[in-house]
Amino acid sequence: MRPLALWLTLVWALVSFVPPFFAREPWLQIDGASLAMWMAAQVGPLVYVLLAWLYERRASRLEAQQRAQRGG
Amino acid sequence: MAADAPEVGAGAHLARRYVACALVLLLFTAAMVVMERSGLKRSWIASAFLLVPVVLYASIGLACRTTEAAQYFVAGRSVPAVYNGMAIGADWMSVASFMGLAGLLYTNGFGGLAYVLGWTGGFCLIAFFIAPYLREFGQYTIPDYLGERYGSHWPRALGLCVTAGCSLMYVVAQIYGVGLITARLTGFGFEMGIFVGLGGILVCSFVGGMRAITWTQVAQYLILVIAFLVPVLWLSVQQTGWPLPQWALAQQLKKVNERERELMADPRERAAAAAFRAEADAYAQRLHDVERALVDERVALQQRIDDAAMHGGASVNELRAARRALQALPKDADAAREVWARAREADLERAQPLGGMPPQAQMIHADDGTQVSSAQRSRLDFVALVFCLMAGTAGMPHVLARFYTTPSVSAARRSVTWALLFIALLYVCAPVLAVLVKYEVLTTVVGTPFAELPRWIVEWSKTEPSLVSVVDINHDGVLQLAELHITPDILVLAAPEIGGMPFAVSCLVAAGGLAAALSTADGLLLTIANALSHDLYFNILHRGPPTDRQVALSKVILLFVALVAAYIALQRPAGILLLVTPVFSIAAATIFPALVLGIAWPAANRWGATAGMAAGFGITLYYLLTRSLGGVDERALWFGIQPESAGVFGVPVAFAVHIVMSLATAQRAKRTVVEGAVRQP
Repeated sequence: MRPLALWLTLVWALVSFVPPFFAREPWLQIDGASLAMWMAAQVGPLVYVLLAWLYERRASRLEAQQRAQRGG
Repeated sequence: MAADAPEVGAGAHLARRYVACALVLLLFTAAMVVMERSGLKRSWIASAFLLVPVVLYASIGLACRTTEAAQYFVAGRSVPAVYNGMAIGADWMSVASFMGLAGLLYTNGFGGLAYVLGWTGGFCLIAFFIAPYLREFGQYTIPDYLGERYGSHWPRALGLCVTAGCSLMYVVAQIYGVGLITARLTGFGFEMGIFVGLGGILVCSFVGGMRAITWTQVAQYLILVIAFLVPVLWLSVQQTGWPLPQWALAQQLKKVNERERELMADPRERAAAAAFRAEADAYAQRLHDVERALVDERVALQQRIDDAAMHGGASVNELRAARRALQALPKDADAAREVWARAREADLERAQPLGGMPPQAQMIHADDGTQVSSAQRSRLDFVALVFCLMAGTAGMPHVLARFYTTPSVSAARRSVTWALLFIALLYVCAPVLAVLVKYEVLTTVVGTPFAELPRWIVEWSKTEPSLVSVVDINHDGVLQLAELHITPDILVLAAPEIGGMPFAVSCLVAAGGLAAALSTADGLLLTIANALSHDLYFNILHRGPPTDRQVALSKVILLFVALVAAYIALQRPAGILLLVTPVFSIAAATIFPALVLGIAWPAANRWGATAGMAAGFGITLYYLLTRSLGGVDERALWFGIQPESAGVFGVPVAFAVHIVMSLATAQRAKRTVVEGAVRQP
């Protein structure tokens, strides 16, 4: 589980902390606002939901496998 | 209603009941709109929107009353994941999220998005590193986990202090919000509003503890999310023709940017800004010699009153205004210094372009450090705030305690995903609401003659002038943006009126705000009371008491804490968000490192935990106090980071001290690690 959690944490950190550093780049403007704004206002929260869901699915599958191994 | 809810097989039955609850709310709102058009009095509509939800919460609370410790503290550990997700959503989305967030995004522009990222991203940390492990360990409170995991009273006591302190500050903000909304709905004064709202809070948490507030929070989540989405969808359709908030955001943001550029170049806006600057200069002049200025002011006002009385030249209104101004004069030089300095700052803020609001689309200020508005943050400051809010979220005791209520570890994990989904639904709509309301204000309100101001401005400025006010400072008879002051905290409440929606929708939004405040206040009060009764009294002072005494004591403490919080809220503390934000830094620098290291690192021990929490708390509090008391001195800030983000220094210090101390005392503390405390579910 730990490698998965660490990979997901890396994606989480990239989504959360990198875009604000490019918030004033003129070449990263979409529809009147920066890409960082769109990431923070809309994409970021949805990515977080996705990350939590992926972790939950994978962890539940691993747990089921472990239970099956113990049972076998 | 939900008394039997947790039992197995009740899932579908429960779902039907809560769906029915949501449908009834929508039908009730529609019926109220129709009755409003048929001439039903506004006061009746407002009372109905206050009474119906409160009766619903009270019914659920009473149906779930309990004196059993497991039911009272952790709802019998039987709450299904999806309902725990909704309860976490309601617990989490406080009045700061419901009312403060969109308001902040309106006044501070997209710099406020740090809150959207921080308050959602923290749940990923909870999902990956905390929730399943806490549930596996299976205690009653967060200080309880710290005490058992580290096998010592010290981490428990420190955790207890932070839990009680942070939750108390947070609950004061909720009760303040309850007072605002209840006063708005009923027409009672703010003070009366607080005590009416307090009754609504206590009827759930007092009688049924975690069991009652869980099932009440599910209903509160439904009400608050519907109440938030209705005005967003309404404004989307009104402004773009489509009920798609994200599409509306893209469309209207461009128009808001364009209108802001026009206003920045508008000579009338500049005239208003110049008038505010002149007024600020006048205050600066008075502040040079406060005693003399105060005497001069008093003499001049008295002279005006005497002249008017003797010669009868002035109108009744002028005479009344002069009397009011004389009464409102500060009592002594110290009070005058404080009032005039604050007034000068406010004037200087409003003398900036767009009345001190940064352009909506700008998240951070320019690279050269020049700020369009003092509300803007630098890149580093923005990221620091996001980090503090995330780590603080992952260390917030009232949310973490909810993971003890699920039947299993996998249900705890699933409930984080559900909670995040339910929370994100509101958070991605907050920036949309801010932009849509700003578009309404910039295009339909700014430029209106004072004689034709919309009804909402007249009503709000009459009932609560500190929340909404207008002043014709350049005497042109037309409202400029700089002349309109809206407190961020009331923007969501006022949004339906700003958008020209029926009064019933305003009441629905107020009922949603009330649900947000009540649900969070319930969770916080229970967290404080449980920590004080279970951890302080029964684990530190008197070990091993009968469980029915634990519940009784927790109820008494809950009542006492609620009254203390209400008393503090009556003093009308600073804005809701200002009150809440530092709490995250403190939780981030104390509880978060102790939890994460306790779960992930078997070698973490009591000495490390105690020293780490103390160091994190110390450095955070030091930065918070020294950099914010007496105003923020930008030159004294470390890396330009604002005091509310002090946790960004506290978190690494807490981790470092915890690790170093644990390594240094490894031999001595080996035996104290509780078997099974560190898990890999």
